[in-house]
Amino acid sequence: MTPEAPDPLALAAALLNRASAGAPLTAALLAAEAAASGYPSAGIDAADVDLVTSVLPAQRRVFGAARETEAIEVVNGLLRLAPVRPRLVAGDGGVPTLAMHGPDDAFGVVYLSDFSLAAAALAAQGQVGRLQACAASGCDVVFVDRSRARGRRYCDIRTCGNRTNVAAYRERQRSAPPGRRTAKRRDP
Amino acid sequence: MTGRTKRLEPRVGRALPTGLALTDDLLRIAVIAGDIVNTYNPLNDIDFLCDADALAYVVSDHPWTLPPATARDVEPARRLRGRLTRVFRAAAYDELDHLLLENPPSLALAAGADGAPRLLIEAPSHELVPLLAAQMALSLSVFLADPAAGSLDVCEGPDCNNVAVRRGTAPPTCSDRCRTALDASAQPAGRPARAGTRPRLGRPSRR
Repeated sequence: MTPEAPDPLALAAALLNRASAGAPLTAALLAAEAAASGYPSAGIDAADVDLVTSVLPAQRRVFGAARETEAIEVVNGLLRLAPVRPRLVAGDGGVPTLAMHGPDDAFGVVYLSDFSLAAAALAAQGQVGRLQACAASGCDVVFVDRSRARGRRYCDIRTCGNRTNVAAYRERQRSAPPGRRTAKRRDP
Repeated sequence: MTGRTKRLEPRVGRALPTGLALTDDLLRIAVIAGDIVNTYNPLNDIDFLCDADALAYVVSDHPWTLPPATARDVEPARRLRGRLTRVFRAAAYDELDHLLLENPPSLALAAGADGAPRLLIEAPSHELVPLLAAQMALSLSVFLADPAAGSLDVCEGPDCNNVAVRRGTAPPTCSDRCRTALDASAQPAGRPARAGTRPRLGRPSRR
């Protein structure tokens, strides 16, 4: 079984959701989330925690940015902050492999440049809008929209989606004239 | 009543890009790297990279805006050509690694001519040749690291010794001229007309 490729976008969403839930970021928490997103968790220390914590507000601006240009501006800033160090190294079977970091780079730097590169690649395809914030009022959850049609609006359709749809239905019922109100059909 | 005999499979999340992909822009830069190599023909010792105009012509198909070529750029361009020649003709991929170390590329998003954002490769130096070195080294690295992209080869056109970028299973050709010549040479000579087809006499009369 081949190991999962590291997913910096999923890791960013997980860390942002942890932060908005009020959980302080620790080295153990960062290591657990990194491992869940396919990164090696060994060697993560306090310096990595400080670096990741310092850029969480900028990453939050990328998720659910009102305009694409705003997201691109933030991603460009992150690209400058954690530049890639591409190296062409010999891989298995003679096929060269492109490594975007040096072997001695700390986890924080690797994660930051991975996130910037992945977000930039999305933006170059006109799909930075896949990095979304939940559309439900009062919900701070961010997520990566992996749907084919890019139509996902809520972090969870059964909670936030249902709550928003019920609220919209009630609002329509309230604002409609008394004779136009529709009763909910009930099965006998 | 119909019964479901098979369980529904859970939908797998869409895989989004997590790294640098071989875009059309990077592929075009890789092809221009081959064009630079082809400015010198070792069989007849003719060097077409003789002045700034020749250099500007070779890189004129570049997808992004470049600084203008000057006479000072010609000699560094020849040195870059020598290193790229080793990459194309001798598969010396360590040369690409050295180029990446000497000209570390950086990435930036910028609006293209059509207003859409594009991921550009920049370099610490704003001069033409170091910028080209960074862009070509990274583009060729992305190309070589992608197992489905193709390979760096020698043109299969008749009587041609140029290098070419092979895409997929198509034969590598350095130019449209060689591609046309290769296609023509692949046709069997004296091929007869298709049997069983009457010559067309034009549109039939309505009468």
